[in-house]
Amino acid sequence: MGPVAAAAARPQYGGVLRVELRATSANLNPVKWKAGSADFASNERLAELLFDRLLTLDNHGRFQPQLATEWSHDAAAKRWQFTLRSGVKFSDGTALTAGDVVAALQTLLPRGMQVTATGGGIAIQSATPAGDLLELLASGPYFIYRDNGSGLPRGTGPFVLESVSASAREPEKTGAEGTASQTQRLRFRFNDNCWNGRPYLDAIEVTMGVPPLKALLDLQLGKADLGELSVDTAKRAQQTSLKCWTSAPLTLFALKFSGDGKPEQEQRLREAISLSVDREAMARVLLQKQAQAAGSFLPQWLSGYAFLFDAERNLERAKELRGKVPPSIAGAALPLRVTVDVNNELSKLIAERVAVDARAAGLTLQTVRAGARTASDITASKSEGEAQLVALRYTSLSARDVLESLASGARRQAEAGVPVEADARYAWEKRMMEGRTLLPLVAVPDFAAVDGRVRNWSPSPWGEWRLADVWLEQGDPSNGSRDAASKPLLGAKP
Amino acid sequence: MSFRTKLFLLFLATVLASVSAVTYSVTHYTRAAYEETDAQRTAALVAQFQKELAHERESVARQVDNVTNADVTLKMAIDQTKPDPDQSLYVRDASGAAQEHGLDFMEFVIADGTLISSAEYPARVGYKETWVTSVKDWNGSEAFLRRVELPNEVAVSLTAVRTQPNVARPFYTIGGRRLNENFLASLVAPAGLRALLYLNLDSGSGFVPEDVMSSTGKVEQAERFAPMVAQLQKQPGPLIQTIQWTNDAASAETFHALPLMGRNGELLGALLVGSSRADLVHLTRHVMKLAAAVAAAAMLIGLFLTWWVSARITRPIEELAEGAREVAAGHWHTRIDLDGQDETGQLAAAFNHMTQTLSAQRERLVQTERVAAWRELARRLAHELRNPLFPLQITVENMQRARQLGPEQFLEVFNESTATLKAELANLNSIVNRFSDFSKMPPPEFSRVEINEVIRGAVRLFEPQFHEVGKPTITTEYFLKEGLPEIDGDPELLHKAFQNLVLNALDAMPAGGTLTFRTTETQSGVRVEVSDTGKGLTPEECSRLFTPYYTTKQQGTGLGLAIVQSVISDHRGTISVASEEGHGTTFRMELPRRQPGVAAKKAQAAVAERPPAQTKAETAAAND
Amino acid sequence: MARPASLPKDVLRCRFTPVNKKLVRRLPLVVLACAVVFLLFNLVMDLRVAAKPDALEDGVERLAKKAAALPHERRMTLLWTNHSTLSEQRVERLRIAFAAQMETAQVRFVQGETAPPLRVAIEQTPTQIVFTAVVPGEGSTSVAIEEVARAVAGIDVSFGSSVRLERELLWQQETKILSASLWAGSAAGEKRLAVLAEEALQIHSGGPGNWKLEYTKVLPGPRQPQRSARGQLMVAEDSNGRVGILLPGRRCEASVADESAITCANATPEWPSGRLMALPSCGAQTWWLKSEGVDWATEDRLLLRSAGAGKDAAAVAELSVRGPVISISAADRADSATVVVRDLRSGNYEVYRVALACGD
Repeated sequence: MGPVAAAAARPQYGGVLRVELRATSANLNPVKWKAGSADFASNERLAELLFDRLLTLDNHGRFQPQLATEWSHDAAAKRWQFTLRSGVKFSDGTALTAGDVVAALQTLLPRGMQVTATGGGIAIQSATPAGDLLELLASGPYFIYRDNGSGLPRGTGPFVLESVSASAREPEKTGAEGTASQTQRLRFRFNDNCWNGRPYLDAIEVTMGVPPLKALLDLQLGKADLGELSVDTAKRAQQTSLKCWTSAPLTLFALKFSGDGKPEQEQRLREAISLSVDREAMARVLLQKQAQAAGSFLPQWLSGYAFLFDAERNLERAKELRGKVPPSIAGAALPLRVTVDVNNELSKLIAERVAVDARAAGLTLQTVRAGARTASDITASKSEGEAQLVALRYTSLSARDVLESLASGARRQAEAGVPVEADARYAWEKRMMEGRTLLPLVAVPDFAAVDGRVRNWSPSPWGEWRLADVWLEQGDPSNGSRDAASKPLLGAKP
Repeated sequence: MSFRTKLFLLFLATVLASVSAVTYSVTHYTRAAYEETDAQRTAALVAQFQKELAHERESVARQVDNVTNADVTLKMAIDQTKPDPDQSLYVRDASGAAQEHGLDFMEFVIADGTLISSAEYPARVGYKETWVTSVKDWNGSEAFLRRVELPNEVAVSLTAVRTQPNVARPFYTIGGRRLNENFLASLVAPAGLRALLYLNLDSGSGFVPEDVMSSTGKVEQAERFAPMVAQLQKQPGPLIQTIQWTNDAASAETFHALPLMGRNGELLGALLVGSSRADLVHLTRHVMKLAAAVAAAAMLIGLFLTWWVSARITRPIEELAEGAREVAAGHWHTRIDLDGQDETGQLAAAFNHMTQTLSAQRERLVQTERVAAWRELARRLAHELRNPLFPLQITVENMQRARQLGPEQFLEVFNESTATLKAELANLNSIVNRFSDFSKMPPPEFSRVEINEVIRGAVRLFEPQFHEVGKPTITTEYFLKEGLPEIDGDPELLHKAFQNLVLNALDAMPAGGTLTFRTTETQSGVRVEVSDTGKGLTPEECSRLFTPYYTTKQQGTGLGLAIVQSVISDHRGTISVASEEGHGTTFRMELPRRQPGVAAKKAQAAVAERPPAQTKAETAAAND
Repeated sequence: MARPASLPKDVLRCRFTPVNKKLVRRLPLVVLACAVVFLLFNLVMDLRVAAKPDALEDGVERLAKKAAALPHERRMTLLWTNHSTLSEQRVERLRIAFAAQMETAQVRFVQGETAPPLRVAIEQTPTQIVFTAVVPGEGSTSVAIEEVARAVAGIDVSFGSSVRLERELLWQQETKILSASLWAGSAAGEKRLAVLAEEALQIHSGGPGNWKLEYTKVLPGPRQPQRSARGQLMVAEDSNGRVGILLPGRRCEASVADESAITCANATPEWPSGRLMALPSCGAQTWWLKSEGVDWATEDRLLLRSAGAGKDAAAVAELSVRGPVISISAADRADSATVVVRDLRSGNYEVYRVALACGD
């Protein structure tokens, strides 16, 4: 989706953007984010408001400088040098130093990478060639912040967190079963000290824990400006006058097996399950063409070679394999229990579809609801069943980084790390697929809808929302009085 | 058993029989009435269920009609008739339609059977529902029970199917409501009745206790329904069974099972109407308790009445019995003092009169018998004495005549006459001794005796006679039971008695014969039988046999059998005779084992081994 | 800022960033600095573009080397698919480079025969252009993958070769026009316009706004039913003054140089669906001009697609018209077409000359 603004319209300062997100709470400390988790996305989107990265990637594949203005590397791509932008200040007015960058990045960088301050910049030394370091730093949790140790880290981004409030919300009928939850509300106001200039918006109010259906209703009723939607609500939103955005497939739904599947019969069973699933129908029919069949871990948009993996259903072969599995293996005679996150309706739907498809091959799968903790957390300590339907988020632009986090979550340690080169990475991914600890099913994009008065919103296909460049068309009394040429009314000292 | 006891038992039996009969009748009719009422209530509840089910069918059909006729559904149906329709557009619509119309299940199926939207199982979208395409037009059809597959379970639904009428190619709307405990909650069951549902959801797996549901939730001990359900599965049809939940009979419950069939006659579940039998059991128990109480009370009353009545009746009878025993013991002047004009008073008066009469008659009889006995004795004496006296007289006369003879002739006659005189005097002496002996037969001296030995000893004496040359042979046969218990007896007296019997038998068999001795054990003692094969006795002879001095022989005192009878009588035994004229006579004696007040003492080893010197009695007996 | 001679391979970037309030106050200096930086930036970009025109070609050559080294069939066809945003020309150049490199490795591709295909796909990720070759071997397939950073790939040198459509109204009338065609007249600057109506063919000469009716030739045979009237003018460049007319069940010919009658013969004509156009200045490529094909009560669009692309390929240019497109015929040049549209607002039939134009 391209820029929303009409070419001739000039940006207006002022206004409060009201955003509604599905995640129930926000964590604004990147160190505490878990790679691959569903909350990562919302945390990242909020962190973008407060923090900057060294660089970003635009929609045309070009790295744009942020806090780093220049970068270079040696021939082996093991040592990278970044020149820091001068004159950058944190929201409290203190200057950004190389030490801050080092302190922030060292806690985030993968093992084998060391960051040091060099005059006017930083250097990152990697034990192995890091040809994708720019992709790594331009995505994921690699924000530059200063942790004072007294709560919220400070950032250099366009907004400052002004307040966090919580209020009780009535339990929703879908999602958490009857449990009362707190609604978290965050308010971000513009940062006057931002090196990139103050944003057009006066503030952004974010309401957490809003179910997609409610977000859609709020958008239609004018109570929200930007709302995060789901597969079915996105379809509905497309039939309204709202502007809808669909990202590239960012969440992989996969079947994760407990146990390493070493016995041959288990391997056969898993292969049979994989062959019995009609991923195309799942994506096309069940998910109403909003998803993509996933035959590999990395999506096509991230690896470029996902089409090489066969995702076709082969029911005959599946039945043949099933015939060779002894009844003692769960899934053959006794049902194979698949744990599903009780809070995620989509997971449940996909798991049920897998069960239906598997039944056509003579395999018995039974969905079991897990507790309130997210089943998408691939580092969960214990599964309740023999398999788990997990939702894995692609949280990096580096294909290698994504594969490594998937591998660690599937408890398969990379023999010598995931290679950077595409050939070798493809072979590595193919081997990991053959291990069948993780069976990819479908990849689902993010969905959002915006009100017509939201302008200049150009999110990236990989899910960055980039709210800093957004402006609101004024004139809505419900949003306070606004004058197109007036200065912001709600400016407050940091 | 005493009369009191008999009366008490009779009264008791009467009371128990009456109480039992009444109790049985009451419980029987109570049970019948209860069963009838129970059947009516059950039928009413079943009818209520049927009615609710019919109502629910109509409601479901109506809602499905509404969904089918909705604009949204029509649009969906029209879209699906176009070439390459986008089936993914409507994946979520069934869920909304179900919620809007208060249904639990909703599915949309296109002409080829492909499911394009499902409220209850969205994951099955794209798969085929071939059963629905078997009927082209479902409109107007009734709702029916159907097994519905859900992701983690199988449910039973009241389902209606409708075909969208406005499109060329069939478009099916399938809607339904789940049949579960909520439906049961809509039934109002009278007290003591409950309705359960068993949803036989997977007939291949047999009985599943969790499939039994009630309006209040889980059913305890559901596994007890297994046999009933198994029978239903084998042969679907109304069924009645009683289940007792605990050891207490009051916990029993009678279940009427009504099978719930699907459209194709498959068994999908059963309605179980349970009727508690607690009331009946309690009532029955109550009646039984009451009956038991009544019986116990009646027993007590009966006991009292019996004691009182029997006291009034049995006391006089006991007095009468006591009086009779006194009379039997020889106290002929016993009188019973009983007042009253009733039967017992009359009986006492009659008894007293009887004893008085008997006493007078006895005295007269005694007098008469004494006179008769004196006459008999005089006659016998005269007869006995005459015999020796006549020869005495002849001899003396001979001696008087012989005085005229010469000395030598007189001496010969004198010697012969004196010998005769001496013999006859000895005979007279013997007769006198015998009478004397009889008059003063000593009382028995009891000791433990072996009766077989006594018999053998008594008979041994006569052995030489049995085989004397020139005389008829007497054959003796012994049937003496070995191991007979010793009895209290006087061995000498018994010996004498048996000798007398042998003598009597010898006298009865002048031409020889067989003398048989038989001993057996009786309950109270021993029985001895002495049989001969003589000429037998007439009835008159039988009756007077034991009368002293009665004899059928030309000679003899007639005391032998009297002595026998006296000895037997002293031993508190009995003697009887059986005889048939021309065939022989059998004397049967029964002797008790014990005599009162006798210390156990074994008799002398062998009366038979006594030295040959006979006692006086034996001598007297030998001479008879 | 100048670029050192011994620059490492990767790109140095410098970008002008918006300034804060202090900068605003120092506006003139800021403007001067920005101008300098901007000029330098362009220079760098040009250099970069000029210095790295073949990064992608390097990539496909490397891919070719890898593919040639894998077990492969002796005879293969080449299936080349592009799913990236690279232009068709560039993709074509890459294909040629790949084939050439394969040839140096003694691998030749055959055309039009039944041979297993070597499939090369060009994909695009946020940061990379990914080339994937699936090589058929004996009983199996092997895969070679090569990536080129999008940033290194640079701007397409034929950046200015984007094509667009332009239109010029030639003629309009109230009565129905079945087809029209424009061609160059005998005199310089003079055009001839043939307008086929339901009953007759009219030949005009002159130019837009200045047409003079030369001839009217009645169509022989029975009149077509009004509702289904259809006709198509076929004019070839070397037709010697003759135009072809396609009618339902007939093929006719007419001379535009004289008043001779139209002659017809029974035939089953194949109705053309569009016009093939080319504009050399826009690249060695041909395009098809077709209408979107809506009903006669809806506004239509003219769509220009690459001649080699399938019917589902995206249009490289489009032009909205105010009603249904009645016909598309040849025009005076290879880069133009004569399009008849019925304007739904006025009800008039309009004849346009639609031409390719190069650049923005």
